[in-house]
Amino acid sequence: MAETENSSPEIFIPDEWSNAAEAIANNSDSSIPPSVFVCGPKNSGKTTFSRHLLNVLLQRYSKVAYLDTDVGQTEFTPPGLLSLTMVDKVTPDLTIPCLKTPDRCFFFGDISSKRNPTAYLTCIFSLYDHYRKEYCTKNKTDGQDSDGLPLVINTPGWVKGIGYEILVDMLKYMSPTHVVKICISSEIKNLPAGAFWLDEGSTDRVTVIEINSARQDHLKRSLLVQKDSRLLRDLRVMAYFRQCFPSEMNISTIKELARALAAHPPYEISISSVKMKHSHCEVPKTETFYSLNASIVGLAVSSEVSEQLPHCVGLGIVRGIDTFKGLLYVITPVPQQTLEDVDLLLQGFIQIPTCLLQVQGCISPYISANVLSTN
Amino acid sequence: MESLLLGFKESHEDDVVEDKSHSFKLVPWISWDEWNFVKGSLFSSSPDSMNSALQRISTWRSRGCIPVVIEVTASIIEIQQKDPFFRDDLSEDALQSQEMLSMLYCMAIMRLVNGVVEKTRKKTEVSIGEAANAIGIPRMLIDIRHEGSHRELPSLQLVRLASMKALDWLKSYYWEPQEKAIPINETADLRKEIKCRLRELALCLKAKQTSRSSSLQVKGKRVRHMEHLHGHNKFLFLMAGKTSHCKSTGSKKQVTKSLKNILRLYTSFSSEVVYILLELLLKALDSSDFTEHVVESQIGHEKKQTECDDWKCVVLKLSNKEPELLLTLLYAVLEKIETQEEIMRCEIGEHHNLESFANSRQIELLSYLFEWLVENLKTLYPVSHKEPTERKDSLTEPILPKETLLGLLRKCLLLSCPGNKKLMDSALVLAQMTGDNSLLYKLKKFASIWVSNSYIREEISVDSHTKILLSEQEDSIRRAEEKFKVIRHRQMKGTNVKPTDSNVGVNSRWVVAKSWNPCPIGMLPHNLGFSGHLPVLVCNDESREARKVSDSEEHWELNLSGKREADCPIEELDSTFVKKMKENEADCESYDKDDTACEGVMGRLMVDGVWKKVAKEELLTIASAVRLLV
Repeated sequence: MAETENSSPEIFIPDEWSNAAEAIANNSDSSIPPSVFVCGPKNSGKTTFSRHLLNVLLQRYSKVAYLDTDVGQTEFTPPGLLSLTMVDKVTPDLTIPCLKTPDRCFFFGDISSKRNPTAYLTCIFSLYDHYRKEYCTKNKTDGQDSDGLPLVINTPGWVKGIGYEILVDMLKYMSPTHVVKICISSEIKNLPAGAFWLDEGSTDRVTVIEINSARQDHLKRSLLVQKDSRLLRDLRVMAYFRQCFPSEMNISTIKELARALAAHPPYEISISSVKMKHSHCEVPKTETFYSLNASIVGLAVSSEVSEQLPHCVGLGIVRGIDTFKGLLYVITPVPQQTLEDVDLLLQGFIQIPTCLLQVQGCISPYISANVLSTN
Repeated sequence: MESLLLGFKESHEDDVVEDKSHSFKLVPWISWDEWNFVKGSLFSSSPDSMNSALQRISTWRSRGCIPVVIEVTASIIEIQQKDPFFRDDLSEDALQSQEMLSMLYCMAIMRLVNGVVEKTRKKTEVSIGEAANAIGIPRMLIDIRHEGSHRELPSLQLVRLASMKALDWLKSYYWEPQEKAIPINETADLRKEIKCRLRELALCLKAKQTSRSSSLQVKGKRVRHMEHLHGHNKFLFLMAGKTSHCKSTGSKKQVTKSLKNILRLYTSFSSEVVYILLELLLKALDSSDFTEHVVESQIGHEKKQTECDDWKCVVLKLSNKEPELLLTLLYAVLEKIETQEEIMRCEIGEHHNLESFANSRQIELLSYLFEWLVENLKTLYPVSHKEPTERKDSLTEPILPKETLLGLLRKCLLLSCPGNKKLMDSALVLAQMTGDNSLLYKLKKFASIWVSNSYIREEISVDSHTKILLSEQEDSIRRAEEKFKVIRHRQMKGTNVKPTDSNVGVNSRWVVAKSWNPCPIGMLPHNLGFSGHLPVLVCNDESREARKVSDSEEHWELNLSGKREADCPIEELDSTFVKKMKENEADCESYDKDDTACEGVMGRLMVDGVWKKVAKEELLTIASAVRLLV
């Protein structure tokens, strides 16, 4: 993944990559805007390519839609969310991810799709439908983007087993105009050649572009990534909650952030006015608060139409629960106006970074010394 | 944002290093008490308590950081609970087939072997068997894993036996050693440790002072001082007992070390530390032959270093590091005075014996301590005359929130029993600290009434009893008025919360907490300080119903009796009222959406010893009548 490049600021974009991106952006003979599906094994550079492609497309289009399906290493949101984001600015520095408020977003609540592939796909399909409805077709009221917006789909690096099947399902549902397949030198880890998702005799028109990973030393790097991904997720979560404070406020280290969060006046909301739900397990009703306290939740708006998924406006930390007053205390950077609609707290397995729990002199009860190391 | 992320990264790596040295871990339980509860119930013989433990473990699972050994223990026990072999009360036919049961057992055992062994497996060990030997897993479990995955499904008899062996092994591998590793699981031990650490600090400080003064042996006065100190050192040494590693060669390093130890204890057990510190202070005060006279004249012979001064030294040192300590101590002192008065009142009318003398002496000591603490508070948080906006800029200066001061002041006034000049003076200092001039003026006036009262009392000592009664009544009327103010304020809030408090919409679900003291994530803030307290997370129907009652606006309750029994602070009233109101639950069906009102006092009034419902208007008229009286 591109994030590992943080150590080396210059990102090398091979000619093969820039040619591919140019070809996609200038493919103007078709009437519909390009939708590009970027896939490949872990650590092959999908995210870097997607970022590069975004910038290239932004030279032609005023806005580009970005569908992020990589819940473990999200691009514009904190982890665990599936989102569709409109990008209208070129990011000059490809090394650094930045947070953006997505156009539409669902809380999946885990860092991998493996716990519930069905729910995962439902969310992604719904996001894609939203794109089709709002941005893909010609929009007569909005003269500016009458052509519709191009779409970039970034995918997780899980390309074997169930991960492969999920990719195939996504490809079949979206039938993108371009599929960019990034290959690494270790053949066995790559996706099958050609349009692997199509059944025989299918007439779908699709351009498959196969490019090679920019990196030469995979084995060495992949070890590094394995270790880094959790750290990167923690950083992403922290950068997200950094937004609780004005940018001019002097918070540059994790310790400062943790201290500031512990002192930050939270939102208080009465327990009776929100529903609480765990996305992946059944928590007994009497145990809800034991489960919820000091955890990260998705702040969601339950829709009136029962079949529709509750869309998510952001993440919050349930920093305390007062059962006597019947109040939940939630820290979130989401503005109060947006929060007003939030009536559903979705719990998942997005772990709160441990460094936020150990402020000096203010250590959370969930951080414990004297724990036997059995795992 | 960009540079921010990079900055984060650097310092994060530092933190990781730190993590290793302290071996802090994220756990799904909020306290070791919770863990102990689960362990106790899990290995009990009662299916009900086993179930409650299993339920809690499944909750831990939902938090996503559960140790695998706990998970597999729970799985095995849950399966055993479905097995008629372990349960006499299950009817055979209502159950899974044998096949199903052995599959369940088999899977749990496989997960145990793989989950535990994989984590401990070293690269040098080739087979899982070797790795299993290293941690002493029964061989039978390894074989079942192998049979179950590659060959025939092992028989129910075998896996049943294996499940018992597995539990025994899990107990010896995790549950029992972990229980032993829990730092302080008994409060007695905790108290002992806190006491020991505090004494250590006192000793170190003392020793440091001694060595300092011995290097300055120029003046004879100083030498005398030192001699005196030596005598004290000896005494402290005896007290400190086993803490012999802290010899009288008290260096700065030792002071910092013991200071750190106490602060560490303070962060996790603040109330215990404060309580014990107060106990020690009182004891020292008591033994230092304290009388009103001595204190007054102490300024005269200032060099008379007493044991009590040693402890004061400890308090100062600690509060420099942890300013909130002073506040918590102040609260603790007030609470102690309250209980002492309570005891006194119960004894009054019976006979003036030695006990009541001891009580009044305790109050005297406490008031003295309070005065001293308030003085220190004042030096720690100097009254700033800057504009509030200016003050915000200088973040380095500690700021005491006005609410905290007012809370302290209120409590102090509620307690100030007649004739207690020290408390009154402290109250004045507190009022001064708030910077609210009108409040200060009012208090001064009130204090002057007091002084005249006590003056009269001195003159006509025969009448003192009636005077006490008078001022007591005066006091209670004032208190009643104060409470009315609070009630009216809350009532207003309850009815017009929306237009006044929210700036967004009519129906504000999400409101930023008005005041918030920093506290660890997962805890609730104290009135003051950074330590926070553990929340009560039980969510049974009982507490919900109780909440329903306190939620309802229509039934606010008020205690207007001037008697002392009712003089506990409003917050306490609430909780007792919740209990009292339980029988009235049925007619309290209105469910309040606005929970800020749940703090409110419910609309009842003690009239002639009976709780009566009163209308809002009635209350208001009573309130104004009371004000007229005052």
